[in-house]
Amino acid sequence: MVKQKLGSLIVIVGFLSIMSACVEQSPTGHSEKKTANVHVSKQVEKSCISCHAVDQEGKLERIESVRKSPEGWAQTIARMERIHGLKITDKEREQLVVDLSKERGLAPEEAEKVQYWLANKPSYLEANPPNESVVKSCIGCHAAGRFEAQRRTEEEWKNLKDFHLVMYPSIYLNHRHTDWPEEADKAIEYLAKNYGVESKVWDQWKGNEYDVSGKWKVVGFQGTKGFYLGESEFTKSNDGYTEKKSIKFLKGQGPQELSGNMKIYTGYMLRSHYMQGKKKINGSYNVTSENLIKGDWSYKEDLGITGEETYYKVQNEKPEIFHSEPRAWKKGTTNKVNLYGMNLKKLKTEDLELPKGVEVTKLTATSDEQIEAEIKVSKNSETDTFLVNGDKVAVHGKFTLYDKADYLKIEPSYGVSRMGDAGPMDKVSIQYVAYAYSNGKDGKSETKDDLKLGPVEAEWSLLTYPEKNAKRDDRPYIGKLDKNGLYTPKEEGVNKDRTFVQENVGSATVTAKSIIDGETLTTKSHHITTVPDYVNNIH
Amino acid sequence: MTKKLVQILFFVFPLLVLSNFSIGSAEKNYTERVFISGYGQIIVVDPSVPKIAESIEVKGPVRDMSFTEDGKTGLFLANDRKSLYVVDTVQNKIIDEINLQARTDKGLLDRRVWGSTISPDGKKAYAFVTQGEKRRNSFKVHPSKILEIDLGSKEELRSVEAPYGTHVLQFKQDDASKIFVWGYDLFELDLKDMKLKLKQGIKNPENKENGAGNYLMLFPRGENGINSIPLIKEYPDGRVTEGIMWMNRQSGKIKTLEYDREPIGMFSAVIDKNEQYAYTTLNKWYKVDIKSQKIVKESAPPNGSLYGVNLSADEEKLYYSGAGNEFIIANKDLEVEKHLVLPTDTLDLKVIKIKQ
Repeated sequence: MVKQKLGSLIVIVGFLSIMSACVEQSPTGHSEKKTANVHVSKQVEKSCISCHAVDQEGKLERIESVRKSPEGWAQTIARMERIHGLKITDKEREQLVVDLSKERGLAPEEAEKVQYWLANKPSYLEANPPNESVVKSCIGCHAAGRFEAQRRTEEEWKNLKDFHLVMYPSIYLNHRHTDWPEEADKAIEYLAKNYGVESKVWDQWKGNEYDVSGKWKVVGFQGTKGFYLGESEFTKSNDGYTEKKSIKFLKGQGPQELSGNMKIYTGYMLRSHYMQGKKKINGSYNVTSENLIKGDWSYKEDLGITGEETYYKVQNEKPEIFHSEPRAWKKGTTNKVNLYGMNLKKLKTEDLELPKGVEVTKLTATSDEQIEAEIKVSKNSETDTFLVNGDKVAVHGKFTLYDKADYLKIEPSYGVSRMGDAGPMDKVSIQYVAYAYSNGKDGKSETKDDLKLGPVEAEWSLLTYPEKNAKRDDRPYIGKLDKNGLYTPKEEGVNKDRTFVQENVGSATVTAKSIIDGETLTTKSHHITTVPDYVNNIH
Repeated sequence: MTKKLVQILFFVFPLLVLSNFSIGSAEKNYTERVFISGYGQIIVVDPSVPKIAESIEVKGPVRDMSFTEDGKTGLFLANDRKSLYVVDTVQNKIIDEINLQARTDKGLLDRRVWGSTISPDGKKAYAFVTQGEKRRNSFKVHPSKILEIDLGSKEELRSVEAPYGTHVLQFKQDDASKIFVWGYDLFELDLKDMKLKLKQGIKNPENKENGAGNYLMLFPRGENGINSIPLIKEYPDGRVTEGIMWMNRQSGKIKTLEYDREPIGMFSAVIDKNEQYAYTTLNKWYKVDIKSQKIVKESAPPNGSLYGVNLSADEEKLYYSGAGNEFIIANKDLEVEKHLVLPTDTLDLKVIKIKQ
């Protein structure tokens, strides 16, 4: 009898324990308490429910029919404050972004495609959406990233059309080259089909959260300065993490120290605010696995000063290579290569599984973080990109085998800088970078099989635009291009030295010249300096 | 003898003076005023000096400006396109403000005006409105309409649905029963039965080979009987041309020309009543010979872009304003003669003969 009762008790307690664990533990072990009767969060209810009531399906009207990035939610909340009279404190605003991103956010796979928009990268050349009606009705004003970073029900996509027509009725006049309402209907059909609110990846991700505490190695690239390596440590704080980071450019001055705070949104989106001396730097990163963080940073007061970074979790089990100088190896020669990573003293030649015709002839570890290698590449090896494999080593990124550097390209191919700094608007510089390309297997330039060999040093200059027969030479007024490719615009406002064009705006042709393997390669791109981004809420 | 001569002169001189005055009066029985759409004010300029005669305060930037036949009453659109102001142009005083916002059972009916005009007798106003209902947490678009408003009672009398893209309403000259409705294409509104019908396809021409026209008539003309606007035309073969479109407000006949230059984008155009020359403006000033369709004179505004060009009431001078805070008088060879600094930035200018 006692045994039977005890048995029943154990079963009940065990069941309750399992249920409790199910409720509180997410797949990554993150504590996830959600009260059944709370819509999104208590803060969302407090700030939003007076206008967004609970509908017949038990959802907060509109809010629970969309998903957005933290940046998207921040824009929405800002609009509620700007236009609809929402009154909230800074702390409440931040809490709303955190809560909405957590409950109504994007999955990592969804965010990855629009990272350029989330990081607010200037002069990023976005591909046109594949739907013609989306191009006609949306792209005239918005970056595709803005709406591709949203998920909505069909009804919510339709609401977006009415929102535009009511809030911005001049859309009829701005878009008189097309039948906007009709095109918008077709665009909505496409968006509802491809960017619907329901998604498996979100269902799988929601509620998870990475813990990024600990030490990381960093590899970054900043146009005009090149690659850099560094170390970082994240420590948990009250509302996120603090980070201390030290970086050093491969070609350049001594280490640079950064420190700052970061917050994690939706369990994987890191948003950082650093200080580097007196410079404020913002970072937008995504944790893509327990061991990897990827993202972008930019100066708060000059979005054009920017870089890309990848973090690798520090481990001491096996060699890990995360950068190579160069990554493109020339066929028919022995390439001198510097490999960067961690635990590299443990690396042996035979650990690296290389393609046919590629042989490591010398491997000298100068430290645990760097190896000097000599890599012989046969003339007959295949021209292509490849991954280096090996059970005993982790090697990140692709490598390339090529015959010769055939041409150069400048990035960005169309640079848009903005005047600033005289008033409240910040200037936007441009970091021009020249990349070498090989024609690839077909031997023809500008075809699909062309190989990007990496950034190269170049001699930079500005010409008039157009180069020949330019009606006006804007170069003395618009800004300066330095020897490393950094273009800095001038301040906004009237320039009395100019005739007719009153401000320091204009066009120029950027040229880069580089000598690679004794051959001189040159290329050009179009540069403009334009007005500050006064209407910066429609990107 | 001498005394008699003096006596004769004594009587004759005043008669001569009076006679001259009355001759002048017969020729010029109006006061010329230039109405300039400013920010938060309608700027009234006396161009004979030139000087600012008055600044009439309104809410927000001023858009459409239309006038009764005698020029004594004006209808001005301002307040973010939400209010129509009826103005006594003799005393330069606001008579009334008509706000077209309304309430529905679900929220606010936000109506914005994109084209308005006052009837020649000053009794009614007509306004094309886009309509959006602002509900508690969403927006609902309602069909756009042309409203007929009684200026005495401020009540909406009739309405008719009108296509989006409409942005200018303009009475047919000497026929108060018809309004030209300029949108992507030209329509005609018959006020007898409040019916709107397509008059001429411009963006959507009957014959596509004639090219699709693209214009934004934020600067309608017609004070001299001819409405005119720069026109960009795109042909099926990809050709893009710039020129001018104009319409005789009495006959309703439209004519176009394409001048022999690369399109650079012009904002407004004015044509003299003899249809001899056209004048256009934005970053450049053109004088175009209509017969030959050639630009016969070219100049540039002295201080940067100017949106609006118009002709003086006697058509002897050119007036420019719009964009910056300036009013410029130039001769018809595009040479600046006088310059007046205005209190605010501006959009457009209308030259009105106010009957005495």
